[in-house]
Parts: sequence; structure tokens; C-alpha cells
Amino acid sequence: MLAAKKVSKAIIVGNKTLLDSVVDVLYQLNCVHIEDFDKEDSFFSIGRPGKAATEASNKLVKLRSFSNFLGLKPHNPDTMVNQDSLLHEMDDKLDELDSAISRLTDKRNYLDNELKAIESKVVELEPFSQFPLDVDMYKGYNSISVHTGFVRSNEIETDIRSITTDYELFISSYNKMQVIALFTSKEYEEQIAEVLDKNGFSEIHIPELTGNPQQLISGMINRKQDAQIELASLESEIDILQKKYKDFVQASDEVLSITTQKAEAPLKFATSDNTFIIDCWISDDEFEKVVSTIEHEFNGRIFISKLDLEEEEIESESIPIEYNNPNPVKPLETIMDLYSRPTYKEIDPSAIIFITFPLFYGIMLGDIGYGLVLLTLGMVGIAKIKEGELRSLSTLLVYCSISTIIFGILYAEIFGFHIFGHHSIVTSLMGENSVLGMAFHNFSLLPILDRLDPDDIPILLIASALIGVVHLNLGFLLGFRNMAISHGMKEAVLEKMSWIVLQLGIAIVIIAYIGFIPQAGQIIGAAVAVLGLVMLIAGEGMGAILELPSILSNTLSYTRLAAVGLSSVGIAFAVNEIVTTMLFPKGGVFIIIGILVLIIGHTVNTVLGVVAPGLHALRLQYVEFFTKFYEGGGRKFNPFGYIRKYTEVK
Amino acid sequence: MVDISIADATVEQIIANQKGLVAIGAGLAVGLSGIASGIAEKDIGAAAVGAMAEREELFAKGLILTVIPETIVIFGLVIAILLIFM
Repeated sequence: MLAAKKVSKAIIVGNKTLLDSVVDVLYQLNCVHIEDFDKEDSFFSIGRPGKAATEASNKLVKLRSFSNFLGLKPHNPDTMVNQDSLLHEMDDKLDELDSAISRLTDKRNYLDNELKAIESKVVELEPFSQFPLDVDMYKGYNSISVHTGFVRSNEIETDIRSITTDYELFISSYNKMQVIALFTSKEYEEQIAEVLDKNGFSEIHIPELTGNPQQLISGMINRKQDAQIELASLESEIDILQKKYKDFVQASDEVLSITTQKAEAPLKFATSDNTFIIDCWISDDEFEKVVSTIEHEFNGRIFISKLDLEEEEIESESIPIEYNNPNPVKPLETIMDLYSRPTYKEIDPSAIIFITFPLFYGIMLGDIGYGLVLLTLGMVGIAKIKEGELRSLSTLLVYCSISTIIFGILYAEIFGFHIFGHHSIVTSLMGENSVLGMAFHNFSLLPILDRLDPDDIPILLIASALIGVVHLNLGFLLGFRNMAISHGMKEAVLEKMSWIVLQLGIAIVIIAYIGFIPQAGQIIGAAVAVLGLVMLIAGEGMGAILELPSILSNTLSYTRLAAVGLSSVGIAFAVNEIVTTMLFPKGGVFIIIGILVLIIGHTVNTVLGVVAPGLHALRLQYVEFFTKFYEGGGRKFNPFGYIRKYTEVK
Repeated sequence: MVDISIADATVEQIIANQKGLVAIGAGLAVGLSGIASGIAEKDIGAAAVGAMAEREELFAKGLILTVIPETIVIFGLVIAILLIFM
């Protein structure tokens, strides 16, 4: 807790003939972080990938394209697949799948193309279905020119008549346009073209078909329906294929990924003609296990040795970081990773935000109803999602919801309504004179803090600012510790402790001003504050003066703990007031409007109420707290290995 | 509209009038400071989203930079609450 796992740097050296077995053993161990070999100016060269790599990665590419075609998503199979039997049948099954899928793809492409062709022909033919002409009659004349297409207006006929009377014109309206088929003698072609141009003619190409257009269209529509039915049956075939092969594809993907990873591992190793060297990090907890496993498997033919870390290396960000937190704190690591992983010597604040994040969330939302909604959401998330960031977030949601419910009880609020007191929802529902209404109205143990009471709101504001002071100073203390370790005690005192001294001074001045201690305290306080300021300037230079107001703005920033909650209470209260005092008394249609306002208002408020506290709680950690001590920038400890999910080895 | 000339007004009317002015002041404090932080945050937010599109791990830095001007509206809110409740 509070620090990353201790790791040691090690090298593993051995004869190249043992390379594959060493990779197998390390992969099995799944606790060694292998460092990439940097070839620069080195006698050694980068290792060659194993023979299996090419074949396995080819198969993997194929498999993933199948998985894509079948639309497969990760799922939990009923049983684990045995690796040997899988490998035994893999090639045959892949071929089977390949031929099935390529047949289906061909058929689907063919049908898709046919559907497109039919649609475009129907679009071309449809305007001419109103003319009493067969499709073949539009073509094949020696002395007659034919124009088919759309024009803007139906006055084109007068224009044509001014050129010649020797013409045949079919015209009809279609989709707000005029469609024409014009037959004229070829000798007037130029003038006719001009007239057409003037009328905004756009040509339609008549498809190469024969027969009556209406009959053609209905034939095509029939064919289209058939093709659609065939497509649907194709989809169901794909479904069957998907059901049959989904376990196989998922398991093979895992086995092939493992094979490729193992085969490509030598790309990270340094090799000479006969030896290989693996540069790696191993956590101290597991070092003994790795050494004894290697000893046992290779009887001393593989050499493993721990290297001493140089001071510079500890300072730098080169050491891979593995979190060292108890299980309940682990979900918070996601929040840490979102910011940046801690470095090796830094404090890892996961365990601290494990407390403060849900606490802040609860203070802001503080509502039994919303808390229960979140608790359900989080529980569903935990049940459905087995791993990854979303699972962490679900767990985090459960923590936040518990804190929300606790503060909800303290504020005695449910879905923005007050349970007890003047604004009690029960009283307004049951009437003030009913027994229950009276009881809820007069119950005085809860709320401990009433977020609608003008007397309690300043208390809430001041309390949240005080929480801010505590949180900020915790940040300064952690900063003091980090600074003392990395830069020495003097810097730590001047740069971090100075802020605490400064605040102490200001606090003494305020306490003396209020009158808790004698007035002379003001002078002492001012002196302490000036001392803090001098220390700060000595530590950080004159620029520190510019940062002074941040003390005020940071502290006031914590008043959002009260303010965000108040705004959500305010919205809920306003919605309830509008409905109960302005809409419902008018009766009739206003009751329906009132119900609508209630539903919309509370839905919006619930969404805001859930999202806003999350972001603000996060912000208080990242902006106000972390900036006091945290740098981050650590690398992830990424062990070479894999935990099998879908396959097993006997 | 109620026409109130100060000379004729009762004490209750004057107090009510002052309460109204306080409420307007509180509203202005929150509203104007809200607009101010909105204007300040819009550019930072756009730039932060742009940066995140290129490098996703900049989320936290982007968030921090984006919410810095938010302090303005918190100040406004605090002033409003002080005006109304104290």
C-alpha cells in the first residue's frame, strides 16, 4: 500500500538451444517483465522470431477475419477447450470454415449486386411506365432521334412545334418533374438539342430490355423479393455457422495468440551466435519462485542473476510499476492510470483516494434514492462484467453508492425529496393533519444537515471548505515526503512545509480575529504567515507570490462539495414546487402537464446528479490534491505471459 | 406592476423590495460568473479534446486544464449563497 511493488532487475543467460524452453517457462510463470533489447553499439543482435510465428500469425489473421465476418463477440464458453485436441483439428476446421465463409461471401456479394442492379433499373424504367410504348421501341432508328429524360415544364411542346410539326411527344408528370419521350427527325437534331437545353433537359438512359415497362418492373420487383428472401436465409445460415464455430474461433484465437507471442519473444532478447540474454524485471515477492523454477527446470544450464539498481535508475521513470494494493483498493488503480502511473519512489495515492473519492461523491449526491439506483447499477455491472476497466468502474460505483446512501440518511433525502421536517414529502402527500404527516413533519433526529434550511447551508459550506483544508494539507504532507526522499529535507521544508506554515499563520489570525484567543494572536499569526511566505520564496523563488492566491481558490474550490449537492436539491425542489403549487391546483389538463414536468425534471436531475458528482470528485483529486505532491509518469509492469480464459493444457 | 414610491412604502414593502434586489444580485453573481467560466472553458475544452484525439493518455491533463476556470463560477456561487443566506 502507498508504494509500488518492489522489483529487481535481473538477467537470464543461457545457450540458444534452450531458448524455446526458457520462453515456455517464463510464459508459464507470467511474472517477468521483459525489457526490449536496445541494439545500439552492441556486440549482440536482436533474436530471430521462432519458426511457428509466421504460420501462427497467418492463421490468426484468417481467424480474425472469420470472427469479423461472423460478428463474434467475446463470450464465456461452457467448457474449457483442450489445447492438444484443438491444435489437432484446427487446420481441418479452419479449411471448413474458410470454404463455408467464402461460399457465403460470394453468394452474399452476388445477391447484393443483383439487388443494386434491379433497383437502378427500376429507377430508370419507372418514369416511362406511363407511356404506351415497349422498352425496345425507344431504340434502333435510322432517321429518327429519340430523347428520353426530365424537363422542367410542360411548355416544351410549343418550342418544338416552332421547329417542326413532324414529331411525336409523350409527356407526363413524375415526382414534380415532367418526363418526356421525344421522337423527331434527325435533320432537326441541333435545334431540338437547343430547345431541350433551354428547358433544363436531363437525360435518362433506357435500359437494354424488351417488353412492356410495367410488366418488366413488376417482374423485377418479384425478383427483388426473392433475392431478399435468399439474403435472409443466408443470414440465418451465418447465424448457424456462428453458433457452431464461436467456441472454436475464440479458443483458437487464444491458442494462436499465445503461440505468436511466444514465438515473437526472441525479438526482445539479445543474442550472439550461441547464447541469449534476457534483460528483465521481477517483483521481489516472486524472485525466489522464478529462480527456483528455472533451477529446477534446467539444472543450472540457465543462469539468472539479480542486478543492483543504481541510484539514477531508481530516480528515473525506467522502472516498471506494479501496483501493490489490497483487493478493495484495486478499482481505484483505474483512476490512477487515467491520470498517470506513480513512479518507483513516489507515494501511490490509490489507498487515499479509495477513501476520499467515494466520500466526496457521497457528500455531493447524498440521497438514498439515487444511492440505491447507483448501487443496483454497480451490482449489475459487477455481475455482468468480469474484467477490465468497466468492472473497476462498476466496483467504484458501488463504493460511491454506499457513501451516497450514508449521506442520504444524514440529509434525509430520497430522490430530491425531503423525508422529514418542513419540506417532508410524506407530509405534503398525506396532508399536514394526518397522523403520518404530523409524525414525519415533527421528527427531529434527522436530517442532521438539512440542505433546504438557510441555517444549515452555511454550516455545509464551511464544513466543505474545512474538508478542503484537511485534504490539501494531506497533499502537502505527502508532497513533503516525496520531496524529502527525492530532493532532500531542505527543499522539502522550503517548498512544501512552507505552505503549511503559511496556512497555520492565516488560521491563527482568523481565530484571533473571531475572538477565540486574545487579539495579540493576530500579530503572532501574521508573523507565522510571513515566515511561511519567506520560506516559500526561498524555496521556489519570487514566482511563488503569484501562486499565493491558489491557497484561497483551492480551498474555496472545495465548497463545490456543498454547492453541487445544493444545485441538485434546488432543481428537485423547484420542480416539485412548480408542479404542486402552480400546475396541480389549476386542475384539468394542467395535471397531465404537471406529471410531465415531474417526470422530465426528475429524470434530468437524476442524470445530472449522477454524472456531476463523479466529475467533481475526480477533479478535486486530480486538480487540487494531486498537484500538491504527485508527478506520475511510471511505466506499467507488463509481465510476459497470459492467463488462459478459454483453453487448457493437460 | 406595483408602483412603490419610497415615501409611501411600508417597512414590509421596503424589506421585500430589498430582498428582491438581493436575489437579483445573487442571480447575477452566478449567471455572469457561469458565462465567464463557460467562455474560458470552451477554448480549453476544444483544445483538450483535440489533444486527446491524438493521444488518449492526455485525458487527465486535459480535464485538469479544462476545469481550471471553473473556479470562477464556484466563487460566483459562494457569493450568491452568502448573499441569500447570510
